[in-house]
Amino acid sequence: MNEEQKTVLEQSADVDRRAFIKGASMSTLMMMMGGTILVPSRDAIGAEAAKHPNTPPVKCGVIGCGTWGREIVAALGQLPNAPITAMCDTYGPYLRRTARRAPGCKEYEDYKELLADDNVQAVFIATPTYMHREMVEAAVAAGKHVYCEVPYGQTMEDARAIAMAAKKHPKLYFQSGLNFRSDPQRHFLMDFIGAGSWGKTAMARAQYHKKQSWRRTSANADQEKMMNWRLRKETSLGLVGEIGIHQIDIAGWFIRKRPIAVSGFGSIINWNDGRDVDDTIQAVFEYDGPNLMYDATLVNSFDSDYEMYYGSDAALMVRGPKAWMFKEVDAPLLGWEVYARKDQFYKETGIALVSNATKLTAITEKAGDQSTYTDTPLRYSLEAFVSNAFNHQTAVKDFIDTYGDDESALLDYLKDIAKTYLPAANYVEGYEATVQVIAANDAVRGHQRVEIKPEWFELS
Amino acid sequence: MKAIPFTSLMTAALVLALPALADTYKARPGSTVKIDGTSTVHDWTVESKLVGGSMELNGDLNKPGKVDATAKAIISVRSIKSDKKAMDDIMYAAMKVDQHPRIEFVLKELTAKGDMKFDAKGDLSVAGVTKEVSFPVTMEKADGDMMIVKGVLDTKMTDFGIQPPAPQIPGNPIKTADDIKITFEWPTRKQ
Repeated sequence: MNEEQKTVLEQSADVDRRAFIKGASMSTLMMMMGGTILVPSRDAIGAEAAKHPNTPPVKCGVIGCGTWGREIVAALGQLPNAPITAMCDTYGPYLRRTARRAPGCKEYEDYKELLADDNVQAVFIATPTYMHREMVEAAVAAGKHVYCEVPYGQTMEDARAIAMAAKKHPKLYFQSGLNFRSDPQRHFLMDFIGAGSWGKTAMARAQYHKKQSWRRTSANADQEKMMNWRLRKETSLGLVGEIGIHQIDIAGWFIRKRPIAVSGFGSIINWNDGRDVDDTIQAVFEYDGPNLMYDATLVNSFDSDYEMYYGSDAALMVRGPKAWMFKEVDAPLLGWEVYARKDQFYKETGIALVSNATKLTAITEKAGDQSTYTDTPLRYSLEAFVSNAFNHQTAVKDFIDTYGDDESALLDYLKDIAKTYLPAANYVEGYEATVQVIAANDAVRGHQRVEIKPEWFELS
Repeated sequence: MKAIPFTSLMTAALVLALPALADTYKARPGSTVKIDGTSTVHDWTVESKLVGGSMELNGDLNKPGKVDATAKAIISVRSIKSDKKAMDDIMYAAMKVDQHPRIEFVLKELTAKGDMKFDAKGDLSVAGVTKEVSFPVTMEKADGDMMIVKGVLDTKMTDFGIQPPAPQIPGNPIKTADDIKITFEWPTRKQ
């Protein structure tokens, strides 16, 4: 077994372990502790939310065939309308191995050649963070729809340049890789939160705990250095940026505020292997009222990853596709929770919030067994991208065919038509999340408080 | 008496003999076409904001009687949207969008009734089926060179070979009614 194969197996083990924790242990643990699952009716969610979209195909090109690029390729492979016509990676073995999952696709080692390929309509940029900017700018210049992984870039300048590139090309569809924003479960929770069900927001907490090195190995020294870009300060936003951005973004979305400051701490506790990026970090985001406490570690896996929100009437716990509400004794009766399934979590009773299930289903199913939304947030996100990209390009063509190239009226029309798109993070949301984690990474590295200025979010 | 030059007389005669030049109007952004229907579950509405095409109008539009007019209006089927993605997919399939991506209306006859009210008759083509339809319209001048055409047409899906969708949802089968109401507002600008 060569080093590369070994690494892949190690990574697979990580994934299996993660899946096990999310699928089995967490459900059992939740049952032991007690909670109410929140159960929307089909009417509340809309039956269409559970149905996969069926728009005509959009030809896809994937740039970056590392671990996450392969996840994207696998997820695209499950979609009936996302043929992968081209792939690109500078590392031949990665490229060839990933390309086997999309027979017939063209293989490129230079992304500019992929962008020049007329048989590619949309590109997925899954390269290291610091490479995103030049690729996004080139992709929109080449007339491709863009799905860009987050964080956008390692610097505010790069992040802003990416957002501005998207803004300057409104005829192209741009989506940021904040996949939780496409997750139907979290959209259901937003409705629940919007109804004021947890009362006044007191605070939030989120964590990402894994026992893994985050290190990739390769027989090729140059390639190994390239693969381990996350472990070097000069190329990485660390755990808070490269991993935390998804949970931090969702916390701000649920709290419905932008943070005004962030304080951070970080240390290398366990993985003293030459890296200069911390393996354990804490960050506290201030939202002018409630705070979010975020911690991430590669040293201990206990309790994996989840988010908690604490309000005056209830606490909300979100674990992957499942969520529970824990009511205060003096909280008003909502009504529906009387019939909802209850799970025991140690000494607490949780009301299960199982998205897209009927009340009957929720009562009769065993706790934590399943959510109707069985697909991953990545899959929902890519579905949204392909569907929205098709609808966007169709809307642009229809408008120009109908009225000519009246850019101002076209922008108004696209703004209106975007309301019909499947939920997904746009370029602004990706930019704002990136700004927050760049500030957080500065805070973590400097063990300091960093004020997040409102003007940082402006894109003009 | 001073003689009128022969060339001036000829010019005047030619001008009088020529038919008046028609005013051409082209569709402008701001249009809407709404299709309303009912089902066993709830009433539904779909809408497009892209109604393209043009019309030519000649003569006094307020004088009752036939109007010298031509018009063609075009709607891209995929621009018709509801607020539910699944419903859109069902609608596009029912309208055979891949084979017939556009709805077209070609005016054959316009009869003025006074006060800028008219009866329109023409061929409406949906999903590859063309049917003659008649419906009342109004026209309204706005902003100098704009003409806004409004109208309502009651029709049936089956008139165009479209079977009312009946999605099979277990335990909750839905039947869509055949009757639909098409309401449009079509701003055009004189060229």
